[in-house]
Amino acid sequence: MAVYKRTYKTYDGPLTPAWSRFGVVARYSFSTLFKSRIFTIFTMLCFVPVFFAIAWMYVIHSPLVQQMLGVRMGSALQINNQWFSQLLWAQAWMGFMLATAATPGMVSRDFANHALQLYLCRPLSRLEYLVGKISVIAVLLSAVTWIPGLLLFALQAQLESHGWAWDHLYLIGSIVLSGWLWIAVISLLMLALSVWVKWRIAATGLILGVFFLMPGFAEAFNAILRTKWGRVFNLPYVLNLIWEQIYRVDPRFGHINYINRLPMWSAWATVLTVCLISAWLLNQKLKAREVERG
Amino acid sequence: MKQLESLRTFLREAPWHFWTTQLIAVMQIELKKNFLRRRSIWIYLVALAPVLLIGAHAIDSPMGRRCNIEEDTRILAGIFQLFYLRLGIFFGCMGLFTWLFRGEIVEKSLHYYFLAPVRRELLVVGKYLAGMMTAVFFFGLSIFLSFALMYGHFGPAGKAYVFSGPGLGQLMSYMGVTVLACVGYGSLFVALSLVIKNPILPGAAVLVWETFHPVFPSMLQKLSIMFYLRQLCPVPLQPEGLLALFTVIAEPVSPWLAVPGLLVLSTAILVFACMRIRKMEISYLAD
Repeated sequence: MAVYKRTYKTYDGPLTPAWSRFGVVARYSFSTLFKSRIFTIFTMLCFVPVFFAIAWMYVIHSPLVQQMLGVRMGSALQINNQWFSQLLWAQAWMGFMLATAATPGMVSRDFANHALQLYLCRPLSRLEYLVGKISVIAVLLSAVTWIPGLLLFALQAQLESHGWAWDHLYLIGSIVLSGWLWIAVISLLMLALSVWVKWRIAATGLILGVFFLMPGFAEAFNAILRTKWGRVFNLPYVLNLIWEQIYRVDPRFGHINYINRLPMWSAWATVLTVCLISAWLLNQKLKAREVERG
Repeated sequence: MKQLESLRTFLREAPWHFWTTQLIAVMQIELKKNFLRRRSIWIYLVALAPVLLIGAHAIDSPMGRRCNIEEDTRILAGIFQLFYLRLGIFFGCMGLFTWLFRGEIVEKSLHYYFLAPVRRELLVVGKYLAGMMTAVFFFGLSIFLSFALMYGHFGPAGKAYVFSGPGLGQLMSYMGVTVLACVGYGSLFVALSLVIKNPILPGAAVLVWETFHPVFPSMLQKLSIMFYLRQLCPVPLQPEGLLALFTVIAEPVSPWLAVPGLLVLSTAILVFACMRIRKMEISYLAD
């Protein structure tokens, strides 16, 4: 068709159903992410601890393999709630690094290239855009946290039998809940910081600052002012507290100064505050237009 | 022999005065940007956060009513090693030195520098020196104020500790280590920003390495900046928690080796950055 005949007319082709429009944003974000070879390799690396865990389970339940390797697994090396808690905590941190690599670029590029208005001028709301971006992080984090956790639970139940699964049924809830808590906090916070600073490198630095610099500040706060309340600035610490509660881990395990722990309500309050501030920041900053003064 | 001769000729005939003038001009522009930019506020916050906390402590415990000098000395050593060296200066340098070139790319202004008749190596050195001066100013001032507040609130006892005891020596050591940390981390992040588009993720890997280097064999520990800096700290800090279980005690290095070692390492990294910028091509694709 000649160019002069291409006059404006309304699009009359098939429309994506309203409920699944966020999926378009997610699909394109995914394809951009996995164009990077380094990112793909790192995603693969995130599954390495899971494979080690499967091998560990197999060795523990196979006297023949133990005999061949010349080792005897004692009762101290049982697979229980503590084991799941620690493994999935490690996986959660792997997922954190994955999300740190993915999120800032995914959002700040849209801002830097003034592409957000191109998204929002289509039949796509701000919320759907946000859900589209969050779903990418949610899928990535799910793939390395609670989904392998449930598979490991099933494997352990199969290998152990004798009612192990029934006795530890609560672990299914723990695995799913802890995974989704991590996903909610990480995705909201990372998106909010990325939208706020609008520059990929600064956003990555800020995310690392919140997770590594703030705990240092919290410890300095505690040491100087002789208190324990500085830890409310330590997001990994409060998330770990909640994580242990969800997995019903003995609070004395692994904590030298467990007496100085923060109360659980303050940990939940901190996490809730972080989520609310992130949501507020997203609501304020995720706009297709911006008036620049000066 | 011929190469040595040509190097000697180059050094003799190079327009040193002209280059110095250009270097000072680049530094002036960068210093203005580093100090007066709105984006620098976060560096003020990172650097001055412990000062505010120690100030609150000084108000809370006047004349050392609820604390003692030994305990506060240990706490200051802990804050210096765990907050300033491992995190504050690290993140401060990461932000400051990464911005030197990446920031120009984001603001689409690097080509103005490249079009000016200035050698690119001079640009690297000028920007690096300006960044280093900024970092040393902020963190040096912060440590000085922290130290002054920590001992000032003890009154005459604090004064005696500083001027008649080991205090002044400790302050000098803290300042020296701060300068060395800014020199070391600065050169590392300038080079990283010229090699990688997003230098923060490799920076995170460096942070992990710098934090967990004590658990590695002593040979590998020597490849970390923190290994040298820790040895120069005036008050040693014992490792705690799980890290203490796995710590490998490495043979200490004398300050006479640690300081030049770190300076040589930083110079080598900076030379690499200078070589790298000669082949750099600008791409203003959105960061």
